Amino acid sequence: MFKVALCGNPNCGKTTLFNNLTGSQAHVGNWPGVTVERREGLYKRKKDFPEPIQIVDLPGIYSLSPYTPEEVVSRNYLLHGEPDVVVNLVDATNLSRNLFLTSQVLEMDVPVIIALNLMDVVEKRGDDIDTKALSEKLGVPVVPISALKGTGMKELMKVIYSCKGLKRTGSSQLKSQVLRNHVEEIQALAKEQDIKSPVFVASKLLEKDQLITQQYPELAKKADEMIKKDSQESLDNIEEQIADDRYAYIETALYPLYKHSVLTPKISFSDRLDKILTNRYLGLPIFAIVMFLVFCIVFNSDFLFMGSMGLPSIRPFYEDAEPGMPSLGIFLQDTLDYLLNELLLGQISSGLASINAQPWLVSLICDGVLASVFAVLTFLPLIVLLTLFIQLLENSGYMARVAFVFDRFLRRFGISGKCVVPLISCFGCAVPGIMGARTIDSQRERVLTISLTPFFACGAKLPIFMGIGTSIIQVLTGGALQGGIVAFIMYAVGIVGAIIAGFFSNEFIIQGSSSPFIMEFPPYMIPQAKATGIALWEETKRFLIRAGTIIALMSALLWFLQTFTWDWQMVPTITNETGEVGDLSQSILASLGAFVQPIFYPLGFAHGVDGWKYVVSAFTGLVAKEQVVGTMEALNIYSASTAGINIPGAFSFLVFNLFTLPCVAAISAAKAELKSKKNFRFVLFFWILTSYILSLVTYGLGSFSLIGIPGQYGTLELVDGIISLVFIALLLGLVVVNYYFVKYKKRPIHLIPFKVEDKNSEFLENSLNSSPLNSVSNAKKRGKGCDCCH
Amino acid sequence: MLLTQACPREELKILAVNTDYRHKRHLENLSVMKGEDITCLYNRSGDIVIKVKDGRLAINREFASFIEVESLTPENYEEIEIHTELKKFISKIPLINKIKNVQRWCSDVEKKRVPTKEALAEFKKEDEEIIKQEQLRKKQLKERNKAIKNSNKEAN
Repeated sequence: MFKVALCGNPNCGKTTLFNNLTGSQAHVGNWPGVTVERREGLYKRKKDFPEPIQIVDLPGIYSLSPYTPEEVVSRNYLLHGEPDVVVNLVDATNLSRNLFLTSQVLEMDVPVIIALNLMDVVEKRGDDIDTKALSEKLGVPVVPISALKGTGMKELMKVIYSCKGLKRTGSSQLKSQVLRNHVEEIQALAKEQDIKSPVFVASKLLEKDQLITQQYPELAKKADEMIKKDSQESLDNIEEQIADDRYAYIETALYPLYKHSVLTPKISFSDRLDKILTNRYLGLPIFAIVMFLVFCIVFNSDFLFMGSMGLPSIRPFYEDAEPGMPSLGIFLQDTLDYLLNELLLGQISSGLASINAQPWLVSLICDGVLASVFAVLTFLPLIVLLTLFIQLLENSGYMARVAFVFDRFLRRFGISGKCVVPLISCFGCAVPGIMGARTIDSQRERVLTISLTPFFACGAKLPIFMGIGTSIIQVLTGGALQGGIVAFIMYAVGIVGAIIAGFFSNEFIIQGSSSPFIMEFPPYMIPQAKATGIALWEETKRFLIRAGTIIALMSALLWFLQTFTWDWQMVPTITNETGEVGDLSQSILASLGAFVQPIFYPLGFAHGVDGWKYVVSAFTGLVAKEQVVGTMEALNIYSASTAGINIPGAFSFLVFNLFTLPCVAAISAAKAELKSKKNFRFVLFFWILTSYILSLVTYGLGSFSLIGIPGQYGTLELVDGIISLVFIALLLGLVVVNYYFVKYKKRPIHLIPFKVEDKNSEFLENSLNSSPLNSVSNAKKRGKGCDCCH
Repeated sequence: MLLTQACPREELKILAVNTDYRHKRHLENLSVMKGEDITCLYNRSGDIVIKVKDGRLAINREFASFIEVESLTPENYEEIEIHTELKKFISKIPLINKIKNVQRWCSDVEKKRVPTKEALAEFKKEDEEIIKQEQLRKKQLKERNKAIKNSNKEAN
């Protein structure tokens, strides 16, 4: 198959072009590092060309000497993937910086095409690029395109296809005669050894690239000797000289082809906006306000607290509803709830009764599967709206600024601002967040970021917060705490918990300094409807597929386990205030739940005869977090009257679900990303321990409010309270002791001496010693090993 | 001087990047290297934003302190002691002055680079000029778009 690789700097529009050419719906965003893995697709207009064309989208890369793991993916594919043509996407608005990579790609023995992206922006500014002259100077075709608007696609594909079967020999872009001579000498040696892309290998050997030096040690040795013998000048900073030479060539020969118009603004709109959004004092409050507004629009049942201000009730589906009007998310949720549970479920139930279906079948379909699936589906509007706002923030370019604003704050806790972007992506789904951790160059911070991902509640946890918040906590508190407020509290608890957990891990477990924060600011853009629509559709599809498959299957399984006893008989019925219901306490599920129930006693939600139901609900969340609500609905604990739980217990349940192990998909993503078993075991242990301790502390501290209420405050609550206080005192004590250790003994306490493991020890060492303070020790290691492979 | 000492809108030339091999290479890829001209866009005690080539780059403060730069317009800036005024004020209050930490804090006089009065006046003029140019640019852009529309209409 004819293979075409798309490569270029981060955030230059590779994935947008890929989507355009293949008709795929890959996630795009306006910040560097959205794509972290290779993606393949077929050109969508198959009729245009006789042979199918495979398009390969690669993660962004600044040069062919990679810095972060996702850059390694690109380099490895370009070098060893054997593409037929390489399309180097160049951001025309930042031409000189982007051509730096081009100067390296041109050294490879592969046909190269330059696609000048964002030409619409260049034209809008009134600027002009002489593409013909640029093509002549570079010796390869240059095609102006706009991936976003889809212009120049046909021309690009024609040029790509015209390169089929062509062979191109790499050419050195170095202009300094001394450097050229060295490259030619090494190139001759490489040719003798029949090495592919000898020009590229020669210039990388000259640059002392670690991967190439490791790959061709003999050639590297010979090249080193040859340079030392021939050269009269110092070659200590040869890599710097090469970079300088490349930039000098770009600046003198290529950049003048970019004709700046007098119409080009001196101060861009982005610069003006940055003055406000990245302001030292305003940056964090602006972000907090933005997030609060998002949460208000998505899940505040009393929108902008109008009900509290005396507005009468404007709620279409509930007659005796609370005052005020619902937010858009809640309104849509109520509408869907009415349609699914009141109309559709009723119709299906009566329809089954009319055809004289067996009672067990009616129970399986209506009470077992549909009730759970519909309970989960009602949260779809909230998840879609939340995704919409996160997408708008991502696509506008604000995310990079958020990372910048948070970097100053988080650095005190040993976390770099680079960790913020993947963590915020976790509000949508934990899997892309975990994969996004690849953009972090330090292995220590990567492990730390992955271990903090569940703390940033994913969309699937929203139904748990809203469900427990609205159905149980709101009722138990007499409306003082609305469901939306509970959800907002839980999101805030997650963020604060992440900062505290990050601080303690950094101080006492995975010690080390935070890596430097170097991030390119993308220009602000109006979010594109297509990209946002794709992301919303993907999220909706994912949710619907989960509801229709895993949740439906799990619900059927749960129905079976809760309907039958170990003797394979249906559970006997008992009469309570709601009528005749099955005695679940005799079911298989109850005995399974009761088996593990004692472990959760200290957490407050596993008390009493119905405690096992919460344990089972939490466990089913391992399959998919949405299932927790489905299980609660199936086990009839989804309302305050039947919940059998108090307020601290409900909060403890929420905290446990927030911090505990994420779903199976996220766990597998974490395993794949961490690569080392040791790191993975550490992260699993961290998730379980943190959720258990924080849930215990929540119940312990919360249960102090139960003192004096008969039957509510017992020995267990007293013990929990004491343990919580001791635990908090211990943590504070540790901080104080650590402070004195650092002050007087000049070393911090290493509580659990966990050393982050990486398959590539050199890369790990570089990452751990990523502080620029270690420049001397790292300089000694120069040339030894590789910091980028695997 | 170090990049951390640069003032917003100050034009600078990089003299040296004193960091380890790996980070130095990464900065080179981003064209932050010896001899490169950059502009400081934002520097207020936290992280720093610089303009390099046509891109904007955010660098954390600790790391920025490893980048040596020289001002291309040194005459526009001066060094001042930022605690001088506060020190004078506190020294007049005997009770506060007795507190050990306050004394120590007052003695740590920090030096800060700020634009001179003349430079500030010049910047103000420049800003006014930019605003004028912006207005002119918008006008020209409108006219250009109109002309393009008309020519398209005629062509149709």
